Amino acid sequence: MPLNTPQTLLIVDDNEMNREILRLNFLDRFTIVESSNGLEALNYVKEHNDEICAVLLDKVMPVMDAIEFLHEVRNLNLLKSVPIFIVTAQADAISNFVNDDLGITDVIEKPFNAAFLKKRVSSQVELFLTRRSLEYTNLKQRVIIEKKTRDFAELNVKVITTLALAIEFRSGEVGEHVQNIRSLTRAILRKMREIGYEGCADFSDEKIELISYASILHDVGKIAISDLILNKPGKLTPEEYEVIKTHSKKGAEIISKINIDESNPIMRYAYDICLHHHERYDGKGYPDGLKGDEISIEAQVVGLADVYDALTQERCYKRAFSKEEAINMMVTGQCGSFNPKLLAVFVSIIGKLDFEKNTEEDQKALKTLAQSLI
Amino acid sequence: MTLKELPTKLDIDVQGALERFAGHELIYLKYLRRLCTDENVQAFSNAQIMSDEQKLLNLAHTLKGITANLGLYSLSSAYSYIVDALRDKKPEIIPMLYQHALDLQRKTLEILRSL
Repeated sequence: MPLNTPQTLLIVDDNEMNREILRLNFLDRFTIVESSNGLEALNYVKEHNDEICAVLLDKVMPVMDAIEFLHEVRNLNLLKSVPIFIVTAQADAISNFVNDDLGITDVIEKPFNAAFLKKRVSSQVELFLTRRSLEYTNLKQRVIIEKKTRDFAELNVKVITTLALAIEFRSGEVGEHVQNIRSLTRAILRKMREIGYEGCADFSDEKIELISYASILHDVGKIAISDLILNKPGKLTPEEYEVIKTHSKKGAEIISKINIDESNPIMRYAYDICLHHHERYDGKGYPDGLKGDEISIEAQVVGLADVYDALTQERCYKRAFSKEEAINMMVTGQCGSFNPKLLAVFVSIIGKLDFEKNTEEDQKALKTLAQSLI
Repeated sequence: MTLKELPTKLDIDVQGALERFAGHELIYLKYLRRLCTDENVQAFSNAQIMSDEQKLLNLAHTLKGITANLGLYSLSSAYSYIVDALRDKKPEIIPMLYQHALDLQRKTLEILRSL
């Protein structure tokens, strides 16, 4: 049972004897509070709403009668589900109570039979308390389930992140690439939103985090590529390059086979990014040879971030280029082909980026992502 | 007069009323006695009340409930007839019903004063 089980029976009647009779009958069961009119009762209810388990209400009273009291109570959303009994000498004159849908539980006619009165009131109070207790239990269980779902979603994020890092380590890298891609993707998308870039002006924080998170899976298909080719020092043969190119399709296949709800936006973004992050703006990319805006904005952004990070990091087959060299190679078309507007956005922010990991921002992003996975 | 003797003088359901008072005889007696000086009873005794139908209705309604709870069923019915006649818009029979209730009220109070 909830800690604060309501125990108060509110008796509202302008006649002292009527109140005393009712009090005597329920003294052993409830805490009794008496009011001599509707207004007095209303003021009490406002202060002690959660303590009341039933109301016994006379119909005709001075100052404020039963109908006015009930209207006030319903308008203020008080005494929700609490049993309310009209105690009246004129039970046949209660149609206006029923018609007004004021939530009357029962009508008790004077003179009442004490045994029946006690039974009727007690059974309704029991029902009310049981329902309340069940609602409380449900609420507690809902809180527990929500916490577990949140924990599970956070774990989910961590597992997928770990998978992306594992693939990167297998490629002989140190785990910075996927984090860099994520940071770059997030920074570029935020800037695009800020300047009102076409199609990005209404991007929410959540959407940006989802795309950024999905970006870390861009090379997940490399898990299907042989170590001999993946970690080969030096230049790849045309045949080997063709094998490497299959990683985008393989990645999309892996994503589509992860049995997560298809409506999950992360998986939709991840699928598209895996499949199309090697497409080129001039249509000479792979696997589908998409051109211009046929390539989704998220795949364009991740593709650009991937090229930049690959150029500026040392690999088994190349040295690390400086930031300026990398930008020059991208702008002059020596490396990749990008939407000029997107490239301009990237160039405008690249000097200000900081790639520190495990920042407070990443922790907040983790929570946002977990929320979106629930 | 004792509570046990009361039913020999009046139409009163002492047992039923006592059950309503959860067996508290002294409290029941207190309210039986108090009826003799009850302000509603005094107001009803004033014939002026006949000129204000709404006041008469409220008063008869209140007295109907009080007397019924005290087990004074005949008196309660006398008030009830007035309530019904007023609600049914039959003003022509009100004076007769009022007089009947007033006589019964007077007789009842006389007996209750000897408690």
